[in-house]
Amino acid sequence: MSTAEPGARWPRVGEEETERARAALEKVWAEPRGMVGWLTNVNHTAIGRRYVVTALAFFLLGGIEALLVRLQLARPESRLLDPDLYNQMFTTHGTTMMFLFAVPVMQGIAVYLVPFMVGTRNVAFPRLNAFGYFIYLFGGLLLYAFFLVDAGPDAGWFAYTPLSGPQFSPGKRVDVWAQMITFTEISSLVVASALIVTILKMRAPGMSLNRMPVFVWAMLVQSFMVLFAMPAVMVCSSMLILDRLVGTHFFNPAEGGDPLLWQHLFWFFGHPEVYLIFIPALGFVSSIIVAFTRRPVFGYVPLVLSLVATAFLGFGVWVHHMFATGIPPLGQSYFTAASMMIVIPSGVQIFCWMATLWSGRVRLRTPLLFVLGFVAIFTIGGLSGVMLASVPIDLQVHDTFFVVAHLHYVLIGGAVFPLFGALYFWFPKATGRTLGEGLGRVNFWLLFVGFNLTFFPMHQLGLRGMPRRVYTYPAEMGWGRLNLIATLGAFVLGVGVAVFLWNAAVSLRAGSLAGADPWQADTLEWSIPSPPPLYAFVHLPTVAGRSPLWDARPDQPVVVGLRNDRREVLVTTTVEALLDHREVLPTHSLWPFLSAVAVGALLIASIFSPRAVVPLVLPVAVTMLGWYWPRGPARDAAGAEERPLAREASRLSPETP
Amino acid sequence: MLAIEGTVFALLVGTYFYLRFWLPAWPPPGAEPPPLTWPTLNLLVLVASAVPMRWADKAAQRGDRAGVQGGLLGGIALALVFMAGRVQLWRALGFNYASHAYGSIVYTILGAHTMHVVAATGESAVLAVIAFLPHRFHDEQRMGVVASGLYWNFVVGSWLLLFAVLYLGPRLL
Repeated sequence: MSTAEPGARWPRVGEEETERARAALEKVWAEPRGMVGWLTNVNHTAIGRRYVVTALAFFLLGGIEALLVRLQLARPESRLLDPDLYNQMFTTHGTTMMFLFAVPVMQGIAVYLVPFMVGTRNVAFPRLNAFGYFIYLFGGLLLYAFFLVDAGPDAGWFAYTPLSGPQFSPGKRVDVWAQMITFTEISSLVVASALIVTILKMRAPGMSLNRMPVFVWAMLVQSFMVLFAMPAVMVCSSMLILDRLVGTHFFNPAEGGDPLLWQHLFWFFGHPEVYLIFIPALGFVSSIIVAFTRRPVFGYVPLVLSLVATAFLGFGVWVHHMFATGIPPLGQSYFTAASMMIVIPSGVQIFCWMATLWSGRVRLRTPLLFVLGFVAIFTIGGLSGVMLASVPIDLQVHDTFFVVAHLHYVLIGGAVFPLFGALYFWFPKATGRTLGEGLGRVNFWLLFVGFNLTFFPMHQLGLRGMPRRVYTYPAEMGWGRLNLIATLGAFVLGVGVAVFLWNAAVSLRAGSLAGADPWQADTLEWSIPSPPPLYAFVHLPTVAGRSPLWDARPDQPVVVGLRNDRREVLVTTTVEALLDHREVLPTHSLWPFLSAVAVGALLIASIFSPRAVVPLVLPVAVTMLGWYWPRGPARDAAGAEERPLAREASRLSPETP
Repeated sequence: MLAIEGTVFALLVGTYFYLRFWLPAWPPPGAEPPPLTWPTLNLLVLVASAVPMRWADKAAQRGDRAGVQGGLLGGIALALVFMAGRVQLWRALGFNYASHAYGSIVYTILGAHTMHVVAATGESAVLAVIAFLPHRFHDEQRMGVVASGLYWNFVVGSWLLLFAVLYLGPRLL
């Protein structure tokens, strides 16, 4: 690989040539305009931003639902929400946060960042990526359309059978839930495939697997988990909908079915789901810690290996959600051991970060504050997790607020705090302006204090026996005071989120200009202007170490020889990222949107009539065909004058200063 | 894509055995285990279809358009024969998805696999049409034939496994 050799032998790229390339790239990567343009755009920056903004909007909705739930529970025997509305409220809250916020926001940030971090110009399969976004959006709108007309799902975010079955949940509510799952799973699977191919095949020359940024590793691991976990929930939600709509008997014990089958299938997805949310957050944490300690991460190899180990273990612990269902003792012991084993990789990660912080030169800015908050909260969540992994304790506190406290410590501590850190960290990259530091600190402390005030008392409420998912409680139970504290905390938390929105709104207009690299960080996205141009890099970069920007030589070569008159990118080998060949990515197109509409219509119609599925397959087939139909020889004929691939693409030379 | 769908099939098979595990009689009383002779012959038809699909795949890699056309048409013809057989055998099952949990899972596995056969055949048909049109068959479409060849192998291979589960399983295990 020639990139690692001294650069003196490479001719410099002239300024004139660079300007010519820039002008050509701007034309080729330009975004289509107008309303139709919005629907046809396939650039990863646009799709990634949409995912993040949409997911944050759902986060606000889910948050409002949480506040209503807390208001209802603030005092005993409250009549603010009736039991039915309360059921819809907590179900929609959980469903929104898990399916419409947590996973999509992580994937959206990755869609935005990963191409920059690996040094390319778009994700692989850009049209598929756009399709995935529309499917996600339709799924979310479906849920809220029904919620707003008082027909939201009400069987909890994991919709246990038989409660969610045809006998105990008549009406369309659970059907809506189950189809919404299908929508969001399709979109996650789409993003996961696009990310895997981008990460494995489109990295900058020199970025071998053992030099990939930890965040990119985290997204790779997460995407593979998506591939194996999401099908389980699609299978079980499809079985549920078949049981409900056409009378199959998967979960009906009277005809040989088994309600527990639901729990097995659901948690085979559901536990990995926690890691789908958490592993990207670990990637954020690593990026932020490295940038604010100005040193490469301590223990890169153990850190990456523990990410992979967490992913594997995450698939072997699903039964720990089901200890109360009469699992054989041997099974209990196995799943207890497996659950406790997760502590080992998590511990390795925490110690690697602590060592990084210990030996670095720490700058305590807002993103790092959120990371420290994450370490504190997540450790508590981890400890209550160790408690729950032991069967006797689990049986005691099963289905109480102790579990609610645990899961919020793990998910908010493990994912939302790093996410806010990431928003503060990458906001300047995406918008060109830095979020206000003073408001950022206020934001952090409100969230941190509000969070602990809300959820810490729930541990105690759970130990005192307060069950989850019951709309109220009698005064003589003595739970009123702790519940009131929790509700006050929830409002502090809400104010914290409002401060973030205010900060974002103000900073968008008047924040200080960020420049390319406001934090002096180490990964490739900081080498390009903020906000990044649509083509990302004028010349695709090469990489000489784990910290591409810190390890770059003064004469670090760049890739030249790619054509600038079409959306051409470089494909490199999977392990070592050696030059392989070039690939032309498709441009904007309306077909992904049309296909998403067709698929959406099919899925929604199936809720109302299984027969509607048959005619509605036709538009799906037609739009897919239109999508695939070859556009004549234009792309190929242009290729006829192409010079040989390898030689051309490997002509590397140092970029002009 | 193959990983996702492989996982789906694996989970369906897992469900099949999970449901079976809890029941004293499998298939439940009143349902016969499916017959063997015709399904086996039909299985052979599907396996045979992999041969012309493979020709098309090889021809696409060579850039031999006539080979692609012939291979795809042969493969599609055999796939249609298989599907006709599938419909007949399905009608002869003697129970349906609403009869009992056994019926539900057998129908779902058959349905999921049939969907794959239909989709893959449709894909081959589209590619065949493109291969006959002037000026439409380029590198991208050649890659499409190679990819759909791989996918066809998956469809055939998964049926070998599912066949063993649905038809041989109730007799042997």
